[in-house]
Amino acid sequence: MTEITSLRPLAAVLVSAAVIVPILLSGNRPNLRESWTGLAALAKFAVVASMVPAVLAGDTYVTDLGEFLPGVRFALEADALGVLFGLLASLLWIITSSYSIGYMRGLDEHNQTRYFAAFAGSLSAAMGVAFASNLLVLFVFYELLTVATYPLVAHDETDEARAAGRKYLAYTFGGGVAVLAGTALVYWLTGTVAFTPGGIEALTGADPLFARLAFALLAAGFGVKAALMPLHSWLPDAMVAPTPVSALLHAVAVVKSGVFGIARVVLDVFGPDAVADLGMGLPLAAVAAFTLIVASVIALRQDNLKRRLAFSTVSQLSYIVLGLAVLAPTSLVGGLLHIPAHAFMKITLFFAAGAIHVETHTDDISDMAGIGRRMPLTMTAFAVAAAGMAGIPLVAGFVSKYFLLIGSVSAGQTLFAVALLVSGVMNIGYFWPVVYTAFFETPEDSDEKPLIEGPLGGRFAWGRAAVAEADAAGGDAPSDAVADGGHAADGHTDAHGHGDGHAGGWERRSWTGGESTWFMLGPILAVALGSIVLGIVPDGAVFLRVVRLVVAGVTGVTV
Amino acid sequence: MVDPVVPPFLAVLAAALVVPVLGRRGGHAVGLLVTAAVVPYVWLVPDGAHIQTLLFGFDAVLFNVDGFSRLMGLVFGFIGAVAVLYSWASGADERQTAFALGYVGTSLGAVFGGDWLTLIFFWELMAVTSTLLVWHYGGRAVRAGFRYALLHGVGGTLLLGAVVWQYVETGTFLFTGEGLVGAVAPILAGVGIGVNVGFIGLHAWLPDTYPRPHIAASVFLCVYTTKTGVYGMYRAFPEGELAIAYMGALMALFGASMALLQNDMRRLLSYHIQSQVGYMIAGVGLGTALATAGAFGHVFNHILYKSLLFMTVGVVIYRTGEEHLEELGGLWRRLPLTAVAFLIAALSIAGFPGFNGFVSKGMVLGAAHKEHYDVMWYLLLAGGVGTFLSFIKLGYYVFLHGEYDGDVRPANAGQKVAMVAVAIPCVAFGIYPPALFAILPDVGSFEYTTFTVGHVAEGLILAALGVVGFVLLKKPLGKVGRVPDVDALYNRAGFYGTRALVVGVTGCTPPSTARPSRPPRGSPRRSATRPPPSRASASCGRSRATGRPTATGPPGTSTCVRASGRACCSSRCCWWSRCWCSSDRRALSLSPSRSRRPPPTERPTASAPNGAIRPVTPRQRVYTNQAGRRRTGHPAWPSARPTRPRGPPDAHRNALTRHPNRRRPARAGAVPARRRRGDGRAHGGAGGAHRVARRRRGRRLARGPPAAAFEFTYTAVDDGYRVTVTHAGGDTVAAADGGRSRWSRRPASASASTTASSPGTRRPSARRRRCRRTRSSGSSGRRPADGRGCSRPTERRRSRPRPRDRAPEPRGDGAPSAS
Repeated sequence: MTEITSLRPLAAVLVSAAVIVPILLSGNRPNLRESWTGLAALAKFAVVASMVPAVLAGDTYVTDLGEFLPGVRFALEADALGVLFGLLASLLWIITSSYSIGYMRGLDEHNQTRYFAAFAGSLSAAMGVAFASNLLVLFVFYELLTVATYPLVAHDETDEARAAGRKYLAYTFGGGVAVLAGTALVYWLTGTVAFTPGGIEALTGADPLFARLAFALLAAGFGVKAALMPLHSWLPDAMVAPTPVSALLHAVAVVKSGVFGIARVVLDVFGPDAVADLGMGLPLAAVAAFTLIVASVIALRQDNLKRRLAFSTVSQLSYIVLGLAVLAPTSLVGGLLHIPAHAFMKITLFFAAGAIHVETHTDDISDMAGIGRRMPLTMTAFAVAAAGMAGIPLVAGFVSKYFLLIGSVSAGQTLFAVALLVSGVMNIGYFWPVVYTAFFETPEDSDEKPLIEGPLGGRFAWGRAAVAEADAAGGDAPSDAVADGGHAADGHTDAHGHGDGHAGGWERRSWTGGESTWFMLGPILAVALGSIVLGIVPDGAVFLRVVRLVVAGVTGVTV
Repeated sequence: MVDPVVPPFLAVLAAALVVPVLGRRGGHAVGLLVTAAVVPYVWLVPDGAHIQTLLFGFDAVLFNVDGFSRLMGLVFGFIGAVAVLYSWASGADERQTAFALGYVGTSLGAVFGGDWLTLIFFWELMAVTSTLLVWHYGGRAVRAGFRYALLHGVGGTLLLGAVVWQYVETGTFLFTGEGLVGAVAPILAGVGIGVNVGFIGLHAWLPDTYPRPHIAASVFLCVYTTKTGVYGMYRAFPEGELAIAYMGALMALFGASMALLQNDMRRLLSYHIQSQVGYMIAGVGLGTALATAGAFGHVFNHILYKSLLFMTVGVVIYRTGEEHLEELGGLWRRLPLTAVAFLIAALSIAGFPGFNGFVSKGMVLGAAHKEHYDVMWYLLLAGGVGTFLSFIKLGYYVFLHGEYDGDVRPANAGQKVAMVAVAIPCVAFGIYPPALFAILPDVGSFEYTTFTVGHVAEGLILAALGVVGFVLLKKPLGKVGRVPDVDALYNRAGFYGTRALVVGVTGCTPPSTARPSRPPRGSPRRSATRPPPSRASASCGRSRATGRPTATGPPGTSTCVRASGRACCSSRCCWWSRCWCSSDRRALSLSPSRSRRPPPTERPTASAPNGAIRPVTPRQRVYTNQAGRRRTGHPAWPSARPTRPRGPPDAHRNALTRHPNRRRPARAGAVPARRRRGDGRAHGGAGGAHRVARRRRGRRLARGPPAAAFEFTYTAVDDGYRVTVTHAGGDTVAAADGGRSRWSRRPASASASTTASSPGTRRPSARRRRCRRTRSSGSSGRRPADGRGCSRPTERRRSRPRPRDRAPEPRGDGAPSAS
């Protein structure tokens, strides 16, 4: 393993920061502005991808910018773990850029210039998180990421959005403080904060109490963005942001930066052995298992699709944390592989939710009966990703869940394996009603969503009765009960056609893209395809190889 | 063996992908060819052919041919082809057949997998594709399909757990020939596979799901899932496991007994799947060479005759539109070939000498007898008697009993070909058992002579017992209504348990309600006047209908009350505690469910005979109580939720809507569509069902109506009171007179109704059994006791909302606009 001194990590970080100015300057010319975003996205991905072959060969790229604090270098280092995150974020940014254009223009959003500029900034920060070479640099970019994403969360400028933004800042800055404290503690204990695969050696000999404290601080600090309960509540609220933000940042970049931080702490600061010796793996895993079950339970009750997705995110992030905390090599592979797997699946789901919103202004699952006619491709992609979330084969989720299960069982952590299995069933419980309501129900013939809200057996308690009654009573006379089950304008009274056109069932659109703009459809299909590719040939997709490399480098075990 | 072999599932799955774009005819042709090609392909691929590969970095064998998988592949391919033909003939659309082909393909993948990883891979996919096949039918099948998906999700999860534990134990996924080892894996696998094969207690998905989808979908469903389960059980326990064997024997008896109590034809057959799979499981569990051979022979035979049974019953449903035994009878004259096919299949499943079921069932019985498991033997024999009984019942009430009056055309050509193609091997393998033995997997040597005096006598005695038993049990069986199964228990437990869990975790106020209202994104102007929130985001203090703060208090300040008027436990409004904002009348008016019709501009006027005319709004019920006082609000009574007429069994609606050549027995006037000759009662089995239906209706009545749709005027009249149910449009729908629970459908006053008319003239041909019963039991000429229950619309009840003939309605507030 050699360190290649190169500017590429720095370029990967800066390329999107550099386009912020052109984006701001070309605010009056949207096409030019968006082309800056696209250019930066492609360039960033190219830079990161160019580092992949050497990283797979075991080398790392380092940009050293000098001394940051005494004993701490401000250096960027693209190692295997960093490339895993960087590659994922930069690849998905390309796709999200296209989607953003379709979404923001589709809704005629305000302040699109600020939006795209902040998005580019966020990606810079995310890349910095990926390529940080020590805890302090990681902390800096971690905080920058919070700052850069705030305008995106509060984009709506409504009271609700501002409140969500404040909450977001409070939570994540609080987490940042914890990270800083943990970093200082690690520095105090060992004299270094640089990432070392397998852990900083001096930590094993350090005072266990302080080492545990440092671990707890770091895990809690990063756990905020990883949405570990009880630090998760900013995430569902942040769903007030435009959907592309929810998709890339709140399913991939921001939340994964928290997970990634935990991965760094477990793998490169303490090392799995030291974590096991300190006895910190079990509590972390317990928190993760608790989170993944409880978040699934909460998700069962959400009617708003994005909120349901948010709680699903909370749950799935804990898969990753659980995999990291179980500390067995196979579970590490499973956890790290779940980073890209979950990213592809969840971004598909969010993209689909956003496309539905743009096209039909429908946000609630209970209003989506029969929407598969209107948006066939979108909902098909949704169905694929939802199946993957439940761990159905052919989709990415199956592979990572499989590794996680094997890891948990082989480590003797039966309870965590059970939690994973239960969560898989609950995923069926909260995602598949969306699928079947979209494709196999009609507005006048649908059951209650969320399912637990309605009477047992859904519609049959009264929905059909009312329909039948109206039918029998009046023949072709007004059947109000039918309209009851449908989509008359309850509160969708805004001027721009909310709920238009689906009062009597959705119109049928073709399977060839008639449902939306290809700016959105293309990304949706691309990420859905990506999650299938990851599910069938995870080795062919580069991610599993990188993950194996990371785990082999840390534990010395080839999985 | 490194020949370039192609796993057969690839071709079938590829066909599944292209079928939807080929149209109905072309799609079915492709499906037929591909599945039919599986049979010779599987037959010709040499033993031991396999494809070794790495799946996610683990050794895996995607395709592995041995005697067991070949047997499964042969029959799966054959029945797949027949069922595709049958689908085409029965009017299935190409998308349904595509789902079915996906199901066939994943099942083939599961049985040809050479390791646990491949098996679980396809196992879970099979659950998905079969769910899609069920869902595709829509209607009642959707919710049943979801229950199916959940249960199979649990089963698949358990099996996944077993596979993981097996891997951790042995370090490999490959079949070792020893089944699952360790302490945990066998238990998990036993229960997980037990879901698929219908262990008692885990079986309720079978009768719940299989009767609901399209008739052709049922043919597919009855073949693959359970038999793949048997195959998986063998892979998990190749040496057998006595507990499983006993479970199998119990299943055989339990399934047959439950089947005997059913009146829905496909439900009856579904219980028989469990019963017959019980024989197979008993064979697998016994584990001797004879038992295993018998089990797999029974898999093969069962697939043949069970699919034939579902096809014959499907033809009956297709041609008559009836699912229930009460509605049928005397069809053998009109469906002669179907009746013969049914006879063959019934004799096969019952194990009558000379039919294929006799051979394989005899092997399992012989194995149990040989090993001196007497209890098991008797259980299996008793299951055999139950099988005879229930198929005599089924055949008698469908084909013999009475006479069918309507015009029923015989099965169409495609259906006939499909049925004959399956009936022939049923007889052939029964007459010449060595042909069956030739395709059985090599499980070691065993000796079994099919036609010994003892075996034949056994079969004949069972048959005789069945006939005698039916004669004795015919009357008591007629009194049996719908028998609840365990799902009545665990559906409720699951539903209310989940609800309690979710509420326990998330608290009383659902997050979606507590959340500040979020406007639809993308409003061009972001001003202070926000568009009202959607329904789910309305919070306390806001009318659920309009999203605006209601008059009784500013947002957040209105108090919470129960619908009954009692105070709430907390200040939070919550569907769970049945607490609602006091400002929210509609929520208060008993219906927390979605009532989303915009208020009409003109308030309808409900006119009752005694002149109690008063404008009403959809959200407010006005009624006069017995003392003559006018009341507004939500009376505890009458909570007349409109009852659902016993609708047509919607399972055949494709056949109804898509096949004009199918004629309904239409008769003018109030004469029942079909009248039986024979005993005075229309059908013995109707009594119990009738009572059950009435009880259900009672329960339904006890709940609230959809509040916006109907108004209730409650008037004191001479000898009691009268309740008039008025449609929001102004039409009187129904009226009930004092004390008597009878609902009449006549308009309460001449002026009140223009559209409602007497059901006697409206849809005469579609009256249900209840009407007939009422009449035939001596009260002819009288209006049926339950006019509502007897009316049945003939079309699929998915009417569209009417064209908006009223003026555009004001959005938002539901304030009355007329005086």
